Amino acid sequence: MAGRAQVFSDPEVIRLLSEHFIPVGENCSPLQWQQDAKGEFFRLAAEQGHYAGRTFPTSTRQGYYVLTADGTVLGAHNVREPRQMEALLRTSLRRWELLSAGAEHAALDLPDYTPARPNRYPEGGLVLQLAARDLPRAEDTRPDDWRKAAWNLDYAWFTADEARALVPEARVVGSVAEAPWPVMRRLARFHLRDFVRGETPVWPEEAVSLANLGATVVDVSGPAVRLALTGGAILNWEWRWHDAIHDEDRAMPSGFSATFRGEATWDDERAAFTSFAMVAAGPRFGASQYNNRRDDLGPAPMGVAFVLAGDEPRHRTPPHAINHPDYFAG
Amino acid sequence: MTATIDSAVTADSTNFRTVLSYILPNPEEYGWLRIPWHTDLWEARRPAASEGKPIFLWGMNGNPLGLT
Repeated sequence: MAGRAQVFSDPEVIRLLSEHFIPVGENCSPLQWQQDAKGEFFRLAAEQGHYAGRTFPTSTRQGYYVLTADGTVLGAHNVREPRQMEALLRTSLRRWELLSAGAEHAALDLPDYTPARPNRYPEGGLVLQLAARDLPRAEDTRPDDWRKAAWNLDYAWFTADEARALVPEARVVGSVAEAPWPVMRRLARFHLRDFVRGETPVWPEEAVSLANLGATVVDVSGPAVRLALTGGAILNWEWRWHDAIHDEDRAMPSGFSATFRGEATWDDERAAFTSFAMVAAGPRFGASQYNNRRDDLGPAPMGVAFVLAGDEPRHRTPPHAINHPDYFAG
Repeated sequence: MTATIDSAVTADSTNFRTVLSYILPNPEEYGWLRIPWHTDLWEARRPAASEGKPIFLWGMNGNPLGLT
């Protein structure tokens, strides 16, 4: 998280990327291995880049690549420093200008292909952008570095039917709808994780001891139904993993007790939410293998914000755990 | 957000928007989100070709535009 705040917040980097490139952000971990045309295209680029052929210490192909539409790499590295990023962009742009001099821009006839993983974006459904951050604490012993400033993003997807089920059938002030279990399971297991400082596993089903969300009609004005959102969730689990560096097995009790509070507006004519703002906040404790929490075991307050995602292309970013078999489980 | 803000969100709390604003990234933090990111490398080839621009791919383990 710290890296992207640093390098892509630089004004000149922002300007160059916005004006002279088609910027794309993707999870390259599945791209490295997926057997379809897009995976092959990524591997074509990656094997021209900074980690080409590497298998030790890892086979990662993370980094930044500048490439043409047909897959010729003009520059690549994995450095987060803004001036080095600017140098990569300028050098790549110069190579592009030499390569494309005199050529006419034309539409690219991309062949259809069968994706290894289907696009599960819920057209007509409810797409929420999430942010997670530690909340203020009475005694703060966190180091005054990225750990204190950490925050993270994610997305949550709900189908059109699931979105509709959040709205009370009776459009009358005071009527209540309880979120159905598939929605609550997804909210609790996948989106009440401690991802403030990094990635963390999906809570198993057994970790959820409470999860409910009620929507109460507070106002009806034409097609607009305004809702108050209240509820809570309690999750507890002991994460277990093997520490390969020390060759030791680790076990870490973890949990999050969250209160939901929010407001939303459903539009009957559009059959969609036109506003959605909710917070899940409360004490968390513990750590998992990769979420960088072992120096901050708590208990300490954490908040997860849920707001309606916008229309820009980046808001089609899939949820972190979209490939988990239970994500859209009924 | 100062230490005087009550970060506790209860069922009848009226402070959830204050907590929401605290959690959501502030303008200094989301500068990188002003870049017009695409989310699909394959589909990005189309505008790259029609607009005559190179693709800049940011690849991470975890989605760089989401949870990472």
